[in-house]
Amino acid sequence: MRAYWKRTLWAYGLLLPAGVWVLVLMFYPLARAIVDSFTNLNLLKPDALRWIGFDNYVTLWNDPLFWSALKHSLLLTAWAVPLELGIGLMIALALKQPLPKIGFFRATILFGWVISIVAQVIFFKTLVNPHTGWISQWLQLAGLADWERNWFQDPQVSFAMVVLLHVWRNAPFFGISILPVLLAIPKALYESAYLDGATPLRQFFYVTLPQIRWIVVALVLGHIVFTFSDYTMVAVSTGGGPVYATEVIPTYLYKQAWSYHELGLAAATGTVMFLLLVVFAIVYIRHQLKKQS
Amino acid sequence: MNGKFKVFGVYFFLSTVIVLVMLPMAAALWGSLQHQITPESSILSWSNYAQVFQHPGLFRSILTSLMTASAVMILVVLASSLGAYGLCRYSPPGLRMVLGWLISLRMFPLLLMLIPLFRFFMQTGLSNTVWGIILAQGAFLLPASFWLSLVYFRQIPIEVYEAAEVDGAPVWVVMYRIVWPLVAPGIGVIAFLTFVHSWNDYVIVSIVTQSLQVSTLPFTLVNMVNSVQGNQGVILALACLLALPPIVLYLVVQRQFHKGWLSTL
Repeated sequence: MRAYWKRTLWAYGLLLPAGVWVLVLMFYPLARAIVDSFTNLNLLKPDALRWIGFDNYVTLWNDPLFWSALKHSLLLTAWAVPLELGIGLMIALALKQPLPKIGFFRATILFGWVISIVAQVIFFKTLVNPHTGWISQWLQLAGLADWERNWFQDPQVSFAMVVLLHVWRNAPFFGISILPVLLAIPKALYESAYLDGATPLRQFFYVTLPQIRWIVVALVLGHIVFTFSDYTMVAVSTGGGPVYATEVIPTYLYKQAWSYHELGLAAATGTVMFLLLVVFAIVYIRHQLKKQS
Repeated sequence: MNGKFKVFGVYFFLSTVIVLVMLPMAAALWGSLQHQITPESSILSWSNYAQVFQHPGLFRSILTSLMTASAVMILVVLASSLGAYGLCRYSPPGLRMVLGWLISLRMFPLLLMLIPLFRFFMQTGLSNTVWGIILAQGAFLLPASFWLSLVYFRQIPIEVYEAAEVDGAPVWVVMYRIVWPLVAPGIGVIAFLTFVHSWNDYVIVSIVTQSLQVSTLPFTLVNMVNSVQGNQGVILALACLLALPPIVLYLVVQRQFHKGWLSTL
């Protein structure tokens, strides 16, 4: 019995630094933010602080900008994640082939994922810069000068550009994550499917897909959360504009908090975002715990 | 014939993807090597990079970035190694609950937590300090690196721990001499991910830092982009310098990326 307690004590003692760090700087802020969402907390008027119940949530409900931001966040996720999965699957299937120099492609394909989002957006802005960017010059050379536009500031294409930024960054990550799972599928499965007369397409649906199902689920859930809650990509590329055309929940929240100083309202926005993600989070947690044990 | 066609298809597809990945990087690198960004100029020069290193503010933010990312990396690797050691060595009661909380932590929306954190840092004087950035970034990177540490530490048989502790060696000696060498590639991956995420981070820094006095590279860069008189060439040079270390470090650890641990994240 003493040994049991000693073991427990040691285990949690070693957990202490990480535990305290996370408790103070993650659990406390989360709990505090949810509490704050029921107050009129304002950065410039800290003395007027009082409870206002669900007023912030009512304000959000009545704000058309909130609804449009929510719509954009959902649309962004609905476009970006399936595209990332589709292209990522193709990348994984291609990288799986045992061809000469395939190592070069496996090594370089993830470059876009490792660099900072800030650098990525600046690179894209350089590439599509009106007049001086390469895209613009090539369009002129091809005689398509009237296709030219201010890609990140044109309400018709700016949203598609944000989707493109997400897909460019994460599709190779899907590919590199799926690749080892593909390589681990026993060859015998394909051979017996072949002997049974299965076409390559049927082999993909009946052998490959069931084997990679779990990694695909994990990737999709993780990226739904990432795409839905990412602030930097939109903020640095379009800033939510032009005229709110790309405003998403994270940029909406950030403006409430740091432009208008309405911390209470921003906390309510974040709490709504959190609640929407909790559904995915629960599925994700069950999925990961099952895998771990 | 079918086989040749397939080989050609694979190479064609992969080359297209690589070209698309490289294109924005190449455009920026090219731009950063121009004196002034006009379509006509074609003489390459390092003058933008020279300007970056001569400018005291820009050079300082590179140093701040390096310092912050290194500190975050060391502290997070230490904290998550110790914790994972305890959990894997002793399998204490409540382990499953700890694991559950650990994964759910990674679902917490960053922006929501930054609101109280901002006020907390104002009150404790951590705003505008390198330590504020390190503590905040570290907290948000801990759950993922802790999880990865568990994945790697679990591969070590418990007998190894027991044998190492027979002589009464303290935890840090066992960690340094036995455990870390056994999972060295894994520790390398965790160190890489924490360093790169801290180096790349913009949103946490933008809230902990309110002035450019204590500023990391991404924050400085966004401020330059948003300011009217930002020199395009210098901005591009700085953006290339921001992208370079992650790419170089990735090339060092990239083989580990093909071993399937990504699926555990």
